[in-house]
Amino acid sequence: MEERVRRDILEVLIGAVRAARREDARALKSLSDRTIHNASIHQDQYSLSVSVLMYALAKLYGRERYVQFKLWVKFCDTCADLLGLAVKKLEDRDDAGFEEVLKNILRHLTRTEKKLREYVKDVFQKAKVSKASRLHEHGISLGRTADLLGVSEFELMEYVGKTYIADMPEGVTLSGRERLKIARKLFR
Amino acid sequence: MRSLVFDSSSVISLATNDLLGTLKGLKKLFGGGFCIPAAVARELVDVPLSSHRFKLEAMMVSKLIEGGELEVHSSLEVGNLLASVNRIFSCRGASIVVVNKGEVEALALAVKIGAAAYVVDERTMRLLVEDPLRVRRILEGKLHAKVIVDKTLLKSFQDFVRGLKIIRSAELMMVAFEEGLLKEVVMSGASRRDTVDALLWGLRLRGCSISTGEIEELKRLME
Repeated sequence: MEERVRRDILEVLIGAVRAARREDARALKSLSDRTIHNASIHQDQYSLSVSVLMYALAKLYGRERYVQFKLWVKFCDTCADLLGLAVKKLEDRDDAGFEEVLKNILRHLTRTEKKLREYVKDVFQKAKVSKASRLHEHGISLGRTADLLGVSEFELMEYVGKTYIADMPEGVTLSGRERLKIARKLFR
Repeated sequence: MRSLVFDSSSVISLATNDLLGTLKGLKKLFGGGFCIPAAVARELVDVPLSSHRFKLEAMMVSKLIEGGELEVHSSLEVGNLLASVNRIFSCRGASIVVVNKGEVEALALAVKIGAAAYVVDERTMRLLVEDPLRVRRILEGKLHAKVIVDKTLLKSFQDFVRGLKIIRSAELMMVAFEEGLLKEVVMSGASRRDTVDALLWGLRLRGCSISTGEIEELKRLME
């Protein structure tokens, strides 16, 4: 893992442990945004996974209805413990161990009571699409971001279409008149 | 033979808006072939067929391929092109990978067969071809960091794509509308302005990179 990426992820995860203990969804969301710059440049699985994880946790902690689940408190405690373990592995420069902990967090999130498990799966899928959209917003193509996050281009386009990305001024290269003229010429 | 090359994004916009049926009439009017490379066919059919979501759209695209409305070209060797495009921009000492193999394969096919146009709804590839420094501007604006451009690689890419014209599904559908190819699709009695508005917003909301300003301009032009 590149040193800069390690430093950045470490800072994010230290914040995440605190945020998870407080069930602070807003802080987790902001931590997710912080990893997206590295994810855009290095496109490494560590930054991508952490970004998706932070976003998914923010969504889970942000929905009050999850509190009703019997195992919710235990679920949150284990999450925070595992995030703490991930910090330890990064501090020890144990990349393989860190990767294993990330996998364990995902396993933990999907090994809870059935209904919560369904929610978690859904939240993770949406988190992947949302992060893919953010990468695309940063200038990475739809195809590349779909590959990186393991989502389908169909799903990603549906999400991107509902954002303001198409209205960024850098995206307009020809006027409507000019491009329509090209199209009309092709068919006449 | 004249041809138009489609990337996956433009076909997806048409499929998710149930507008694939217009391609038959458009192809006849065009008098040439509508082509996709093998990598794009995989993205459009094989990948979505493996899950429930968008399986129907994948089947609809597959039917177009079966019927010859979309011709699949065999894979092109694009390793060098892909590597060089993805080394044009770098930040903090790392090259930024901006496009994937399918996108580059479609571009290479368009150049190789001298396509009359490349149909692409995706923003990054369109910008790379038409005004690559805008990609740098987006990257810098979002990353809050200096992005270095390899001028040699950029020049060689610009030489490669020189003269290639780009249109989107939006302009294709404007032509389809003008040529009366949407009569079976859109309710009768709708005003021109409403129909154009519905078409363009349908495409935009399902991922075609067309700005609100461009939509308004096209609506005025089509009146």
